[in-house]
This record gives sequence, C-alpha cells and structure tokens, in this order.
Amino acid sequence: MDITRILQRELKKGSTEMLIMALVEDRPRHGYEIAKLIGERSDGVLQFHVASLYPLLYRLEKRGHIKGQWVEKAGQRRRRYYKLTAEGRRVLAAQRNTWQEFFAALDRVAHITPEPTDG
Amino acid sequence: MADEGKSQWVRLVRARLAPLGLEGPREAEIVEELAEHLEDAYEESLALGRTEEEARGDALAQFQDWRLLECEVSRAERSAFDGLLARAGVDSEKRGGGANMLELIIKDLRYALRMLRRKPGFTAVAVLTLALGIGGNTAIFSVVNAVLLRALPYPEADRLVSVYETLPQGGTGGVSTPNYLDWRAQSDAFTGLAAYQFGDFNLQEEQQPVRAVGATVTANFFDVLGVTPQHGRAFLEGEDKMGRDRVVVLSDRLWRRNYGADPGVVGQDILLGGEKYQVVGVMPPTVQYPMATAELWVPLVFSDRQLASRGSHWLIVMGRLKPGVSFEQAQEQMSTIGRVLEQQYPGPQEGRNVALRRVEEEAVQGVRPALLMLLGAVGFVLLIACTNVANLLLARAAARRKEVAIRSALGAGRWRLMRQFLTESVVLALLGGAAGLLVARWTLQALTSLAAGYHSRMSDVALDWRVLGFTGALSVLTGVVAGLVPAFHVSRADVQETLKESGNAGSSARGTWLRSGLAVAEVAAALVLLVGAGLLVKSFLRLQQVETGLRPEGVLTMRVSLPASRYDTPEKSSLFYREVLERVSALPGVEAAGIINMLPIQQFGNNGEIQVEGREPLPLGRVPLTENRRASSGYFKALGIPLLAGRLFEPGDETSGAVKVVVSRELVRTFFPDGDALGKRIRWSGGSEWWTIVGVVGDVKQSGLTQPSRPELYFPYTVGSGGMTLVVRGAADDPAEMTAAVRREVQAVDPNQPVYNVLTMEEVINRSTVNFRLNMTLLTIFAGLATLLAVVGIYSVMSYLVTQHTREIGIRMALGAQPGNILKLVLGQGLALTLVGVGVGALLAFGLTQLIPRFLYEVGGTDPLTYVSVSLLLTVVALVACYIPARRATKVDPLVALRYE
Repeated sequence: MDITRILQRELKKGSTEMLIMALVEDRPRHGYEIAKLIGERSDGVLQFHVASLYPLLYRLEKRGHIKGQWVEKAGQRRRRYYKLTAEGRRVLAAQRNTWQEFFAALDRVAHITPEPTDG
Repeated sequence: MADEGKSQWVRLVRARLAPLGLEGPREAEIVEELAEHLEDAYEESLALGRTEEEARGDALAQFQDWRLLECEVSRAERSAFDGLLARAGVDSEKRGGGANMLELIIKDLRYALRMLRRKPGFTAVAVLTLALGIGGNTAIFSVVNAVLLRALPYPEADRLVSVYETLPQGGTGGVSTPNYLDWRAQSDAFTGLAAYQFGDFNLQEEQQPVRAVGATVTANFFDVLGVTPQHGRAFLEGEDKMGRDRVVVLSDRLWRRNYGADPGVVGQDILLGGEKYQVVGVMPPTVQYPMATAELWVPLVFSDRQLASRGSHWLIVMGRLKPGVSFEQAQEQMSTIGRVLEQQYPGPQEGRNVALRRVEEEAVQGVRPALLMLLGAVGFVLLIACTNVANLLLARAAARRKEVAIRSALGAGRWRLMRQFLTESVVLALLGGAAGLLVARWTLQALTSLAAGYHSRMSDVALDWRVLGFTGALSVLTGVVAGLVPAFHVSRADVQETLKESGNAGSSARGTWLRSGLAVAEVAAALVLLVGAGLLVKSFLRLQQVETGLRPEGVLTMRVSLPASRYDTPEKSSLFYREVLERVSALPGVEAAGIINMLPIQQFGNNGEIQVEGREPLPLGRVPLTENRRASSGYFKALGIPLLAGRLFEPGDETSGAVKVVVSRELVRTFFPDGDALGKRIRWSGGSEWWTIVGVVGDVKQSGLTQPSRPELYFPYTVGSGGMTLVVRGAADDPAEMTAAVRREVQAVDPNQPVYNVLTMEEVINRSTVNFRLNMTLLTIFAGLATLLAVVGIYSVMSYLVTQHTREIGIRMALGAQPGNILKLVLGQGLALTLVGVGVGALLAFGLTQLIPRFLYEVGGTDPLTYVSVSLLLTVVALVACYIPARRATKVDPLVALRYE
C-alpha cells in the first residue's frame, strides 16, 4: 500500500481527538456542526464520516474529556451539545504541546514548511 | 413534515443499531442523535436546492459505512462499560463467570424479548407453530393423564383384582354362584371377594318413572372397594339375604339430582320397580364402580336356582389382595382351587379354571394402545413444529451472522453466544407453550364432545398441575431442541470470514445443507402420519361398506325395562309387550314394530354351544358359539332382516316342550351343511329341551361391524320376561320424530313404565364405531397439521434458497437463461428435497405401521394404494409450495440482482 496513504490515516487517527476537543473548547457544539467545521476549516482535507465521528464523541465523553447535554432552543429541535470539561482542557493542552513538539521536530529534520529562498 | 422526516431517520438508525443490543435508554439517545444528524444533512441539501430524493441520498451518503459505525459504536460503548467495571475493581476475567449468573440470565432474557419484539412476523409464525405442536401434545397428554396415569380413586387400588372363570374355548367369562361361594370359602389370598351384576331400575320420581342404572352387589362390595359413604352407612353383613334386602345406597350424583343433596334422605323410603327400598347411605362422588354412570346399589340376593346352578356364569367377581400377598401368589392359589372344583364337578366345570386381572389394567385396557398411538402421532407433529422453528431460527441466524461476528469480535465467547440463542428459542417455546395451553383447552372441549362414551374417565380430563408441568417441561425441551442446531451453527461461524464476506453469498453452504436436511425430516415425519391416517381412513371406508344384514334407515329404538316384581311371569310381560306392539303398530306412519331383548351391533351378547338332534355332541370348546336372542316377528320386518325360508313366529311357539325357533343362515351353514334345517331340532349342549327350527333369516353383525356374523338362534319373546328394546320402522325421514308418540303408547299400557336409550338405529351403529372414528379423526387432524407444517418448512427453505441465490439467478438470466429454466431449476430442487423426504418417510412408516394393525380393518399396514396416494398428495402440495418462490426467482431482474449486495 502507498506509504503516503498509511501516513495520512495514522495522522488523522491520532489528531482527530484533538480536533474535536479544540472545536468545543470555546463553546458547546452538536455533532453535525463539529463534522461541518472540521471539513470547512481544513478545506476538505480532514473531512471524515459520521461513522467515525460519533463513536469518537462517545469515547471522549466516556473518558470524561467532553460532556454531552441535550439542549432545546426555542424554535429548534432538541440537540445534543458537547462541551469541553476541565479534564478535557488539560488533555487538550497536553496534546497541543505534543503536536507542536512533533511538528517542530519534523520540520527540523524533513523541512516540512517551505524554506525561505536564498538572497 | 420535519417530524415525519425525522421519524423516518429514527426508524432507519434503530434498525441498523438493533443487533448491538445496547441498553434501552442509551440506545434511544444514540438513535436520536444520529437521526438528528441525518435530518440536518437532509435539510441542508434541500436548502441548496436539491430535490427531496437527492437530499435523502446526500444524507445517507454521510452514513455510507454502517458496518464501521456499528462496530465503532459498539466498541465505544463497551469500552465505557469496561471502564466502569475497572473503576469498580472487578477483574475482567471474573465477569463472565458465575459472579452474577442471575443478572446475566435476566440480561439474556431481556435481550431475547427485544429481539423477538423487533421481528413480530417471525415471532408470530414461530409461536403459532409451536402452539399447535405443544397444544396438541398437551391435549392428548391430558387424556393420557386422566385415563392412564391417574390411579383409580380407591385406596390401594393396585390391590384390586377382578376374578373370572376361564372358558374351555379360551378367554374368560362370568362366574357361577356356587363357584363364587366356593372361592370365597376356600381362598385366603383376599381380604374379601365381592360379586356384582349390572342392573337397571325403574325409579319412581315425582311425576313419572325414570330409569336408574347401577348394580346389585354382595354386602361386602364397598368394603372390598375400600370406600365409606359420605352420609349414612354401607350395606351390613346379611343384608344380601332375602327379607333384609330392601335397602339402597345412592350415588352422589343421584342424591344431588333427585334429593337436592339432602342428608335427611338417609332413612327414607324410595320406590324402585314399584317396591319400597330404604336409603341407608350416600357414596362420595369418587365412587363410580362398576361404571362411571352408576347411580345406585342394591343388595344382590341369590335365588335358590342360582345357588344350585354351577352352569350359569353370570356374576362378576372382584377381590382385594391381602397385604403381603402378591398378584401371582393369589393367581396360583385360585388356579389350585379351580382345578379341585373341576375334579369335583366334572360336568359343568370341565375345562374351566380361574383367571385374575388387575382392576387398574382393566380400566384402561381398551384405550391404552390407541392413546399411546395418538401420543406418538402428536409427538411427531411436535417434532415437525420443532424442526420448522429450528429452520426459521437458522434463517434468522444467517441474517444475524454479522451481529454474531461483531459480538464475538468484541469478546463474547462461544458459550455466551450459544446461550443467547438458546435463551431466545426457549423464550419462544415458552410463549408457544402458553399459547399451546389455549389450543389444548379448545382441543379438549372439542374432544370431549367428540369422544362422549370413549372412556368413562374422559370426564376427568382436565388441565391439572401435572399437565401444566408436562407442558412447561415440553416447552423448554422444545426450545432447546429447536434452538440447538442454529446455536451450534452460529457459534461455529468464523468471525473473520463473516466480516469479510459481502452480503449473504458463499460460506452458508453448510447452512443450506442443514436447512435442507431439516426440511427432508419434516416431510418424512409428515408422510408417516399421512400413511397412518390414510390407513385408518381406508379402514373406516371399508367399515362403512360392511354388510350389516339390516336396513337401519328410518328405524327408531328404545329400551323398556319391566320390573320383575310386577311382571314376574312370562305371561304378564308378554301381555304387556303384545299390547304395546299392537298400539305402536297402529300409529300413523309406522310401517313395522317389533321387540328384541338385545339389539345387534353392540359389543355384548348371550351365547352358548348347541347340539343337533341325532348327532353326537362335539367335545366342549370345539363347537362354534351360537348367539341367542328373544324377538317378535315384527323385529325382523322393522329392521329389514329377510326371511329366507320357513316362517316367522306365531302364537303358541313358546309352548313349553314344543318351542319353535328361527335361526340365521350362518347357523344353517355351520350346523346343516346340506342346507336342510327346517323341521330339525336343536338344544343347548347338555340341555334337556329340544326346539324345532321353523324359519331361517338373514345374518346380521351381532357383535360389532368388525366382527364376523356368528350362528344365531332366535326364540319367541314370549318364552321369557324382562327388559326389551322396541324397534319401530316409520315412514318419516327422521325416525326420532316418532319418539313422543311411541312413548305415549307405552305409558298408555303401563303409566309406571319409563322408556330410555332412545336412539335411531343409525345412531346405534355409529356408536359402535365411536372409538374407531375418534382415532381416525384425531390422526387425520394430526396428519393434516403435520403436512401443513412440513409444507411451510419446504416453502421457507426454498424461499431462503432463492433469496440466497438471487445473484446467481441474475447472472444466469443475464447470460440468457429463460424464466422457464429458472422455474425448472427451483422446482427441481424442491422436488428433490420432497422426494428424499417421502422416501425416508415411507421406510419409517413401513416400520411403524407394523405397530397399528389392531386399529385397522381389512387393510394391511403396507397397503400400496395408501402409500402411493399419500406420497403423491404430499409431493404435489410441496411442489405447489415451491412454486411461489420459484416464480419469484423468475422475476429476478438481472441488473438489480447484480447490484444486490
């Protein structure tokens, strides 16, 4: 199998939990919104299916990183909104750190950000 | 609109997640959330200007990979469960074990109920199938329980024995008075030996006389039986002597019906046959001896003639074995006594001895084989029902292979999965059992009306605790049997293979074999029952064609009993009957009227050995037995029995010393092979008086349709006295219409004279075959049920195969196969299954019908016509059932089939 695709899959898997937590960091969001935001903000690169999104939400919730709650707003249907818990905030910070270090290391070795051209 | 849209998503998601077996509220939450997502996607597409259909497609596209979703959701939820348990400190190894078996069972049960509720169609079919099987078994078992298993309601009933004289010709018969008294005096094996005889009594009720049946019994009768009255007392010693014998013991039924259950009736007098009898006791309702209908008992008083006659074998003797004396010991002792009596009285006792039989065995001897046969037959029906349900479960198991694979991928052990499947089938069977109880109730109601007169203990048939226990146990067993095959099958499925597999094709070859095997077994079992039913039906048709020797249409019969107290001479009773016959014959619409002391075609009669004048008497036991009856000339005319030679009776034929008799053709054939019987004289072997033959009449079936006609001898009714049956032929279509008029004429002659047993002659004949018809009807119903279930089985297997092979069929059609080819292909497979089943069934039936010749009449257990016709019938019906899926196969659209995944 193509090395690039394996890499893509593994990266996605490792990063999706962080993406979701980041998206509900500022305010609670429901599943559909989360799915759309991931697609929009990554310009379609990170688009993924409901089949992986919701189970991931459930797993995060069970671990206590996010919390889901049914909210009924006037004129709207009842939806389940997820928000980041205190525990989730710590985990998110730690993950961001890890990823930053990881990318910095990658960059130092493999130059993944484009280098400025010489004079 | 939105709500409607959303509920559609809810249904969809719920159906997809069902196999995961999530906890109820959690499942609802997930379902709602995912449905919400679909609805959002759908609305968004609509807003972008897409059509409804396109929008729906867009929404569904988001959920492209359902299997992944199911798997992931299940894993996420399970990890949560693990987390909880881990936090609670439960070791994951211990969880599956006995830690909380009950909790697991309850979980299994809830899961099973949910699965069954999700597929109401499947559940209904399975429960109905099982209800028919279990219900039929419960009904027949109730009868077996009441008739065969429940002990007679007398203390230590296993010690009660009947004692008979053995006959020189073989078999057993009644006991003469001197023999009874000798046995009583000489045997010490019994706590008591009682004698009795059935009796009819004319009981005077307020307005008119009614007939009461009962028995005349020796004074120790109730002691031997081991019963005590609920009111008053039983007979005292010596009350069976002349002068002290005007006492009577009432049955509970008569006491309630006639005397309003008033204990004060004890000590009062009642009128029996015009004589006063003092009521001394009332028996409890359990005392139904010698017959279930017994209403009263009076003492048996021996006349001087009876005390002297060792040749008149008229008593029935019953004894109770002493504690410590075995049945065999008692038989041995009585045989010794019998041999001594034979030496002492070489004339009347020649070739006679004594035989004992257990009363308990006698009570069931007539019906035991039939009941066991029916129980076997209905057992077959249950087996078929079981097989059918196993087949349904297999089909469902195949549809649930993914669920099972996921569960086992998630760590559910093989035993765990099997237990889940077994729980489902047992729950199904218990539901079937509950419904089966209803079926049994209805069946029993139908049965008791159908089987009136089948057996005296039919009235005891009820769904008691023993029957309920039987049904419960049977249901569980049925559930396990029906569930075992699918459970094994599923638990062996390879997880990897299943998950990799697309759709249903491929690895289910084993399942197909299994299902086909089950269908073959069903067909085989159904054929066995069909053969059995076919043989019985054929026997019954033969029975209908039996030449009875009489014309029963338009004939009414009724019984009249003359009390010996007022009609104590042949002259008095002859006068009564002559007047009745004259009056009845004069009634408008009456074509002929006569009387006879005993109707033919019933299972009893009087018989003896005759001797022809001028010939050496044959040794005892070598002469064919001759039936004898007393009749009027009108009897032959009324029943259409032809006079073949000579004349019928005339006044004066009864004159002592010059008695004239009419004989049957069979008697002439047996004793006068040259055909010349008129004017010849005959008598009872060893008798003193000769009778002259004046007429020859046609043969009738005296002792039932299945028995050959015996030689018969008719005396003029005027030679004796006692009860007679009136036989009246009328012009009306329904002879029963004459009842009131005939009764009026009888009571015009003697107002104290009741008539009873009012039956048309056709009813008399029908009653003689009631057991036969009951066996036939039940077996035919079972066979029909079996066929229906087996055909449903074949149908479901063929449907399943067609669904499984939709793709293959599609390819064939794409390659140019015509619908006709496909039809042939599917029908051919169905036919193959059926034929194998028919073959196996025929072999089985061949063996099993060897057990039932006693239920057949003039038809062999291997009757080829029956085998061929039921096989054909079953094959045709099965083919019709296969035709439906076969036609569906021809409608397969190759394009759709190839896309079908």
